[in-house]
Amino acid sequence: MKRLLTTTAILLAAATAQANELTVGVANMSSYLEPGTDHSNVGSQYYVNTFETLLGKDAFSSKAKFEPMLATSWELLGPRRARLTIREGVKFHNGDEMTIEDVLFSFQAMMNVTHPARVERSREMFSNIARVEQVDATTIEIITKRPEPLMELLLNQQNGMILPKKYLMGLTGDPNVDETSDYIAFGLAPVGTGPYKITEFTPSESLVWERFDDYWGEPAPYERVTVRFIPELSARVTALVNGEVDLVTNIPPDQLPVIDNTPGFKTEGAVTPLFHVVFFGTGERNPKVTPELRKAMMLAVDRDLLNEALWEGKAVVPSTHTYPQFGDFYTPDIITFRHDLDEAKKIVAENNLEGTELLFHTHPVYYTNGVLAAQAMQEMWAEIGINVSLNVAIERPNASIREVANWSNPMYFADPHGSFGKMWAPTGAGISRGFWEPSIGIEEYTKLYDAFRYETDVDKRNAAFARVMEEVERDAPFFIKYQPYESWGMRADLDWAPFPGHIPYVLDFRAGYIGDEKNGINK
Amino acid sequence: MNFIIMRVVRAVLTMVLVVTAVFFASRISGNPIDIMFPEGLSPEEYAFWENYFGLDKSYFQQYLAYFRGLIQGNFGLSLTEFRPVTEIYAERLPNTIYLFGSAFLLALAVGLPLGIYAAVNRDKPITTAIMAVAFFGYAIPNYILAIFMILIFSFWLHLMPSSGNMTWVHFVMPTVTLAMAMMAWNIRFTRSAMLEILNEDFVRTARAKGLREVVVINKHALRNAMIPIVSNLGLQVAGFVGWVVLVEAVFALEGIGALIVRGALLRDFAVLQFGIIVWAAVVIAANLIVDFIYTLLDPRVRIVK
Repeated sequence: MKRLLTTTAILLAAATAQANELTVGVANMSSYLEPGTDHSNVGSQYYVNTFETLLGKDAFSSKAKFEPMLATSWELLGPRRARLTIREGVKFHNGDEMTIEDVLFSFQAMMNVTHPARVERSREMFSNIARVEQVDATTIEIITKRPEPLMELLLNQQNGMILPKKYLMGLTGDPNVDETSDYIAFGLAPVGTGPYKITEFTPSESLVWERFDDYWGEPAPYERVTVRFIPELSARVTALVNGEVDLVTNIPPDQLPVIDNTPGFKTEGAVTPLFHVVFFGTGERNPKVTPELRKAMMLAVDRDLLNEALWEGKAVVPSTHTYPQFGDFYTPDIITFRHDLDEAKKIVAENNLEGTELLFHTHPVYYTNGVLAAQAMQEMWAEIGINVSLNVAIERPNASIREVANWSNPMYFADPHGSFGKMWAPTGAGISRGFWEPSIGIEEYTKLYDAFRYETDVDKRNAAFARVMEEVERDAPFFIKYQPYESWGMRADLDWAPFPGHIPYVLDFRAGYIGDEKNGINK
Repeated sequence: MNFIIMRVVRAVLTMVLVVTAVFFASRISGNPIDIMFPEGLSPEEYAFWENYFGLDKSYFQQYLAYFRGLIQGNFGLSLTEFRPVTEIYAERLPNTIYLFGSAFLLALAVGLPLGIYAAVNRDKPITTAIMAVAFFGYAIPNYILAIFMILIFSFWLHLMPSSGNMTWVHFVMPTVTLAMAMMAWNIRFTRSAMLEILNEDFVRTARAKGLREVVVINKHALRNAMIPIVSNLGLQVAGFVGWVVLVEAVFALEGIGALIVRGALLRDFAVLQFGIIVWAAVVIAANLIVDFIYTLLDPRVRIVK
């Protein structure tokens, strides 16, 4: 029996630990990998190893420090024009050489959209780009409609990653046209220029990266990285401490001691640049959910108490929609969201709102602690006389019948327009999906928003953003609960931690971004 | 010949009825796009995906289109993976076959002899022990057993992988877990079938003739007891999805049991429908095989022509 057990243990070790490999157990796995369509927290884990943008950004710094990537240099020729020199000698994973044609095509695919699933991304990110012109064989110029203070940030976006034109168009139908079906097929067989090529992808299940030997930059440290979908938290933790995987994602605070107290393992965590929010039904479709009711409900929620109870105080409770990463545009002095039970009760009494019944929708697992927070807020709202019942379900009811729901607002890039704007600008997802119909009317709101969006003077821009947030406080389409603290469990000899300069959840295993004693990899 | 044609026609009709029922029942539950994109979609994008998957048409039009596809061998596209469902099942079916096949054989190889032994030696202490194990295996839900096994052999002893299906070692714990309940079922069923036969007059006669006990048990008793035992085994095979679904889920083993459940949960209609077709085909095949084995076991059972 002992011999059998020993043999099995050896076989297990052989099956799980091979040279220069990394295995990751993830809580969420993508069903497709197409960087231009995707903006989910699930997909953002996987793109940087495979695809590249024109401009890179120092992920170790929370400040926006740009660096050459697929563009070797860039120059802002004026407020509406940028010139970029495209790197030569770059290869795609299928062996094709990247040319200026691919760069132009990648812009074309975002600006002149043929794939309807890209419409929303295009509107959110690239609506200010008027055209992209080829200057010579390696130079392009980008011209915007209005002065663009965020030019470099836009050129660093996941949605603007460079795609292989010929390969993509040849996937289905006419090889000279980028049909919708080409993008869908590409999402199942992605090809980029990054240090790792995807050699196996089983949607919603697993992904295998292998080192791309023709990579133009520093080679990938691992020969092979395998990502396995292990949705159950306890299964992920067991797989880690059993040596089946080297790194696991999404460990809630109460499970951290299980890993930290196991010899040979540790956790790394960080406040994630993402807000968990509660948003309300608005507009004529939701006459019951008035701005007064919404504001009273915001004031009734003790967010510090939620932080203490659910996150052991590790989350951050902000006063407005802002992140420290914004640098000059970080505006913690603005107070949009606060807790004031007396004021909440007063609003309820003055507007005769007591006894209002609402349905709160939340996904069972998508948001860490989402259901627990909903249950806690249910009690807080009961205290001001608002009776909220919970609907815990995978699907979210459409806008016309939705009254209250959980959502998240990630930071897509380090600027108010890259987080608040991505969701709540007139072109943002929250408005295009009908979550918020501004009561001042969309035209008025657009004027208010654009005064901030295109302002180049720091003080004036911050003042304009404060005015936008005043409108958010008045109309109260949503409020922020907190900025969650997310953790990863791993082998103790791995030198990896979430990066302050990345968008949330990015699993970056490029050279210099991970150290691994066992595999002899220095960070 | 007529018999075979009749069986095939009946099988096809059964499948059509089952698929029809699943087709409409799943659609009544709602629109899959609400689940596919939990963060929501703009109206344009929502309309695009509805159109792409043909969900903007009436149920009846969708139904006709689905059957047109079936005739052409097109079983549809997965709504969550954007690729043909046959491709997804082709990837996962081998895992379920390995898992269920090995558990079935293990349960048979252990359960049948133990059941016979328990029937023949019903008063011995070892029989009490066998029946206690059978009771345990029968009573404990397999997902609880699975969690205990993971806790002991993976979390504490680090001897077995807790999840996945990369090597044969990954199949050891799922197979034992799955085999436990089937084995318990086999022991209890074989024992009771054998006990019934062992009390029959012809067994007493065989013993009175002076036949050796091994001949009495194997030739006279077991052969007669095999008819209900084979029926029971046929039921086990027909119900394979019910057996594997939780085990696949706990061990994160990528088989079709978990896939069918996911298809139902996420309203991935084509995945669910194809899963039901596969399941119905297994049920029909199991019944045919059981019928065939009956004719081998008992010469009185013959196909009526």
